[in-house]
Amino acid sequence: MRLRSKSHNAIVAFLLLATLPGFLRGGDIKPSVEVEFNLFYNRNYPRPFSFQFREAKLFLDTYINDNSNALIEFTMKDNLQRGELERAYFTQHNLPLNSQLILGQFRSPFGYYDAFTVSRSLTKNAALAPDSVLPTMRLRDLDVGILWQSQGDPFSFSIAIVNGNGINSLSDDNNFKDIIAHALYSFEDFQIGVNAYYGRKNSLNADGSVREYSDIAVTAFGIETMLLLNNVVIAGEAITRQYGSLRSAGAYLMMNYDLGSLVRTLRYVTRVEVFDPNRNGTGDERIQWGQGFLYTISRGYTAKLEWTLNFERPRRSSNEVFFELEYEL
Amino acid sequence: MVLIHAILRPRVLFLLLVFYNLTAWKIRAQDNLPEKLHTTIDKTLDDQFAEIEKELARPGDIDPKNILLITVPLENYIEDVLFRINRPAIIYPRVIYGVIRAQLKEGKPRSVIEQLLVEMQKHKEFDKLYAAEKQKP
Repeated sequence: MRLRSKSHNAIVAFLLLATLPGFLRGGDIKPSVEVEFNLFYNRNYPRPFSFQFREAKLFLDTYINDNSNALIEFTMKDNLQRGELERAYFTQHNLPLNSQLILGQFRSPFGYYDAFTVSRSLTKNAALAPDSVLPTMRLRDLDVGILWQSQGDPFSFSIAIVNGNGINSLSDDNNFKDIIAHALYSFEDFQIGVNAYYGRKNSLNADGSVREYSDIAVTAFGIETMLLLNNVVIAGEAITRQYGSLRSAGAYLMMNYDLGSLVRTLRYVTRVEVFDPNRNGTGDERIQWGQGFLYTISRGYTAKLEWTLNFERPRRSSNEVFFELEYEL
Repeated sequence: MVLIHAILRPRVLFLLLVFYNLTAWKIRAQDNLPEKLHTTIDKTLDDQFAEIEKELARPGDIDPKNILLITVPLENYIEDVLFRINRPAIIYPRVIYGVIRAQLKEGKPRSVIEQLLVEMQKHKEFDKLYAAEKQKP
């Protein structure tokens, strides 16, 4: 278990308190489980052809009253060997401007959280850090703090104030709280959004004091767009990040095509991405192209077949093939 | 004259038909379905759509083959558009039930109904129907 016990206990205690009214009312807690089991082939791995449990998720969604609820999401990863408390928050709905306030550990509101495909985007998942001693910066992450989400029509926005230390970090390494902002404008079949992240990263000495000269500014800017056509959804993001003097940039475009006219509940997905982890250096760019099919077999069962091709500089390429069966209990 | 012309427009006619069915569903005891669901979990969304399909099959007057997985395109659309950008989804299970039932009873092919549900979600028609239903005395 990778949980920091103190943080974990505090979050659980907070949520237990928040969900207590639900427990007392009885029958208002909805548990559910989602298991992803897959068969993958990657010729670069020591055992290239393997079965694995990719993820198993346990959700506890608690109704408190018409205006509030609490959610706990616990995920087991890597063949169920590693467990992490993921989303864990209390939500207050029906606030002014069609808004909701979220307190706890939530997904960072920076652009799209997930890709259509099984593989996740390099641009948002790659951890950026100048050296291994300093904390990393990742845009697709969970963080602890406060999030205000306004879901208007046609304009929506989110503002989050977080620790900036990533998942399960109740204590920050500095007094500066990281700020994440997202604004989205939706037309009928098209939406466009902008994202910004500003924060500071520190590393600590063994006694818990902050290391001198480790106070580094981190920034990220992004633009996102989604096109909704008949049977087709096309979405993409372009992001630039800076961690001290280290700069990275990337962009991806993904498409989800509904093939229901051929085979019911069948979809084709594809994603192409370009990612440069260090814009100061040359020869380290990566290009990834993934494509595959998603098929809903029955309620709760989804089969995914996907092939990913990676190109890296200096010249190297690799293939990965996934067959994944997702089961929702 | 203007009123008759407005009523005869296919979109208005369709909405009136849905209204009629929405009123009727209460008599047909669809109390198992919530009026409104607010969620960020794809599993919860999946469970709710499964429940709608189960309720549609319950009276036994519609072929279950036409009902099974009829809400999957709508579910996929909501997951693609809202969960992808990390936003909660708000759905109206009773309204969705009323629309599907009305369409099936009219004998519309399931592919047409699946497409219609996505279009209605896209144009916020479910929200409008729900708001109109709430305003009724």
